[in-house]
Amino acid sequence: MKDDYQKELFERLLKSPALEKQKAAFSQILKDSIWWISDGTGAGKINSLGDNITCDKKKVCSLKPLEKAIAKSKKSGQLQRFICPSVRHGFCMPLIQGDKIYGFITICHTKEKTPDDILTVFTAFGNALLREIQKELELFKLYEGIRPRAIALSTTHTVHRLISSTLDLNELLPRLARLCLQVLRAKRCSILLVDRPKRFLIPRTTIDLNYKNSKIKRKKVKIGVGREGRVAQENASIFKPSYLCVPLLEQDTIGVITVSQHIDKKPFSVFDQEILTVLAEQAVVAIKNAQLYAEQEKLTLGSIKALAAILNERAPHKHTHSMAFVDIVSTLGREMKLSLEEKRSLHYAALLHDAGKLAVPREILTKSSKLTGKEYNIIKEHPVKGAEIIKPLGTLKPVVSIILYHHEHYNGKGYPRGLKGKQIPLEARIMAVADAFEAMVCGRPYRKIFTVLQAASEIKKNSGSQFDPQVVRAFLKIVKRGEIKQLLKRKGYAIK
Amino acid sequence: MQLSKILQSPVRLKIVSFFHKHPSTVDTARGVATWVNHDLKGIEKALEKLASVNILIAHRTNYVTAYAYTQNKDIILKIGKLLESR
Repeated sequence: MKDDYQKELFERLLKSPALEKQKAAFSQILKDSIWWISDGTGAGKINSLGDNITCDKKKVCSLKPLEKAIAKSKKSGQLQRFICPSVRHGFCMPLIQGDKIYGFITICHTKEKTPDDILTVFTAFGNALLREIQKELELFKLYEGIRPRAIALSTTHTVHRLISSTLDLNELLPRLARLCLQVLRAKRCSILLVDRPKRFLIPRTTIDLNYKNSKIKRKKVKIGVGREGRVAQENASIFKPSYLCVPLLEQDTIGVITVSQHIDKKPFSVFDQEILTVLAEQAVVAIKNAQLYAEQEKLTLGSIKALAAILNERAPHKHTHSMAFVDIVSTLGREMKLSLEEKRSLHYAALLHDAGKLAVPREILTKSSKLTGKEYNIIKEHPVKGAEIIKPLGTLKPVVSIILYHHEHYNGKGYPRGLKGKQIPLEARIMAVADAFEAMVCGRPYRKIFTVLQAASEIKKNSGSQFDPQVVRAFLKIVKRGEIKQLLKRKGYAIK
Repeated sequence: MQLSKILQSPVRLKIVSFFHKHPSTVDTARGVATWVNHDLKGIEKALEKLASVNILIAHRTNYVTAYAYTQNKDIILKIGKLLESR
């Protein structure tokens, strides 16, 4: 290590632009001089200057006096003068720091003896040069040492950002497994989570680069049994040359991550184990967040369904929307490539969009004959009433505008605000299409039942006036694929 | 994919050399720009190109895109040879 350092320093010295400048400056004073730069190896045993010496001129000169001067200089650590057989003068200056000699600058073949004051300046220059190169080398070494750690730190930060950007466990776990494979350069990664009674580890995702296109099925693992089971029970990692398993630890173990088979067939290192442990720590936070979010979602959805059930009690399906409506809206939302958040809001809005009908007298809601103008005006208030009912529920904020505007028309002739085109939220435009379609095919007491194709044709006819053409196009696509018919059949409708 | 042609671009070569030396890296365009000391715009374009030819893997989410080195041994081997020859 020490030798490597001396060698590297010497290499840097040879290539140093500062040395070139020094040579140029002193060559003006020391006319006709030959410069020898030699490293500090050999400790008094320099018999041949061979490979350790670099000469800037090809002049033939006896090396013996020079070798002697270097040996003396090495021993004393002092500058040594000498005279060549051709009666030329020379001196050898050791490049010395503390008790270490890093090399020698030897000048020979000068016509006259170099004055002492020039030698003093020369020595000062030599020492300054050595210090500068040492500093440069230290900085380089520091940089080389810190850089991989900084890159690894940045990687763990990026992984954290990637896994924290989803609250959907089904998306999070495969992503996490892929990232573990990427960071640890492994072929296989499994993530298993502890079940509720804490008896088994349930395999949630396995990615194997050898089986890229096939879904790998794994059996659940009893806690305490097998390597993964033991890790979950004992909260201690298993570290083998081709297998790593670390627990996902919160207060208790919530699961395990296993990584196996390095892509270069190399054994995993302690550093790999450390990295996997860090990834597991980050994963625990992301997994817990996703699990809590799912719990909260379940709770919200339960409340919404309860509210929807109350609504249906007041006005049975035949007067409002069927459960098929929610599925039609969701299918259309998926076709419109809404984000997860948007799809969720749309789903909730579909369940609650007629909540305002709670404020409509039951006799109007259940009336089987045509509504009077006054009655129709009361019905038209239901989006505003619905929005008012939902507004206090903070978590349903994005749902409010969908409910409020789902009876707006694309041409501005709808209600309650008369909004036009893109002024109407996309989810409300989607719901408007599904709302009209469902009323046509599932029927109302005061209206005849349409076939799917008749209803689709009616929707198409109103594209650009009542409905957003983009949504209509997406809707017609799913009708053409037969998805709507299948969906209605699943819900028990005798659809033509 | 003609590797030598793709790596004719100096910025792409810089990026591939970086990932070849640090294959465990997963980083954003901004991170890679820092490590290879190049402007962000050029890096973003080059990263996308390298991801399109499977030299890099793009991990995309709604909020962040990060890039990592290929796990294909054949590609890694070819890149290694090409970098050695330069």
